[in-house]
Amino acid sequence: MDQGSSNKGQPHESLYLVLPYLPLFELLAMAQTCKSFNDALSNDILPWLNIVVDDRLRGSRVTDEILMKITSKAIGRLRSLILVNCVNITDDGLQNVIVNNPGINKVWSLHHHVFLLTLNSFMSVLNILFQID
Amino acid sequence: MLKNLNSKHIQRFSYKYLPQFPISPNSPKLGFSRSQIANYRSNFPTTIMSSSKTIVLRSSDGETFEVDEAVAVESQTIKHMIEDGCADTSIPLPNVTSKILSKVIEYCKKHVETPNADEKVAEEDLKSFDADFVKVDQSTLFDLILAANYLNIKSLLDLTCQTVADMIKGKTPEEIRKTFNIKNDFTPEEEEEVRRENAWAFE
Repeated sequence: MDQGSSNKGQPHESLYLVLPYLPLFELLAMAQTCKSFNDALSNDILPWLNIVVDDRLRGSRVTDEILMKITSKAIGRLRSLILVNCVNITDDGLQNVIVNNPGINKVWSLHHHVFLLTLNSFMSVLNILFQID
Repeated sequence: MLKNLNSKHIQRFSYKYLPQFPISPNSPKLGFSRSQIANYRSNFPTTIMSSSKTIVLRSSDGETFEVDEAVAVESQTIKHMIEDGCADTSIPLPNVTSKILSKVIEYCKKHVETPNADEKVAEEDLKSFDADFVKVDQSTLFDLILAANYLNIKSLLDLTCQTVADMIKGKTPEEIRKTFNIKNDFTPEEEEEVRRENAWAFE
């Protein structure tokens, strides 16, 4: 089926539904393919709620500043952050992301040996323990 | 008090639902007759669904598919339509062609038949079914994504979207455009701006 001629080169509707399944570098590449995706990724928060950086070759390019810029697209509602081989992220950088996104419930960074799984649920358990009194 | 009853009061009062009092001494003086009860029951809307109920789905091109209800309700959309009582004769699915609908039904059937895999064998079998299921041309894959979204079948949406995501993995913007036949509609200035923004990632 020649979707190209009917849509004049516009990306197929279903590709927008694929965006939340993409890791970070692929998201950035999609933004660069055409205006529609660039707009979709600038205006829509959904693809930025769960950030996965699993590019072993390019993970080291992510600095604290870049991480802050990327996670800020979730406007404080980042849910999970998975970083593989991001050797240039400091503990402070990670800390800042967590502080700015209080609802975050999964932070996993293989380089930092930091495993804060279900941070939010751990905090809520503490809350419940203290509130019962 | 009876003196104050006028014709207006009597007209409003409907005799239709009163049990009839036959004159003969052998028939009951109170209550409903058997035929009245049978009539009442047949008109009462029933929401009890037997386990062998089938649902008829109609694709956009008019083809009908009869499926077990257990299979049909893998789709949250269809499940809600049944619960809301919109499934009397058949459920029209104007967004799904017969080609795609038959594939979706095949998927749902397999996933309903396979019990929630405690057994390793069943899990492996399902995994290999899923892997083969998505070995289709790009156009069909895209249509399956839209259908899974419209019909709200989460596992199918995850499977199909992940398949396309894997196709995108590791590709440059130009390679992505080629794969999915996307036109680069940036002006040179816009393209330069986006390229500069992401220079840290790609250069």
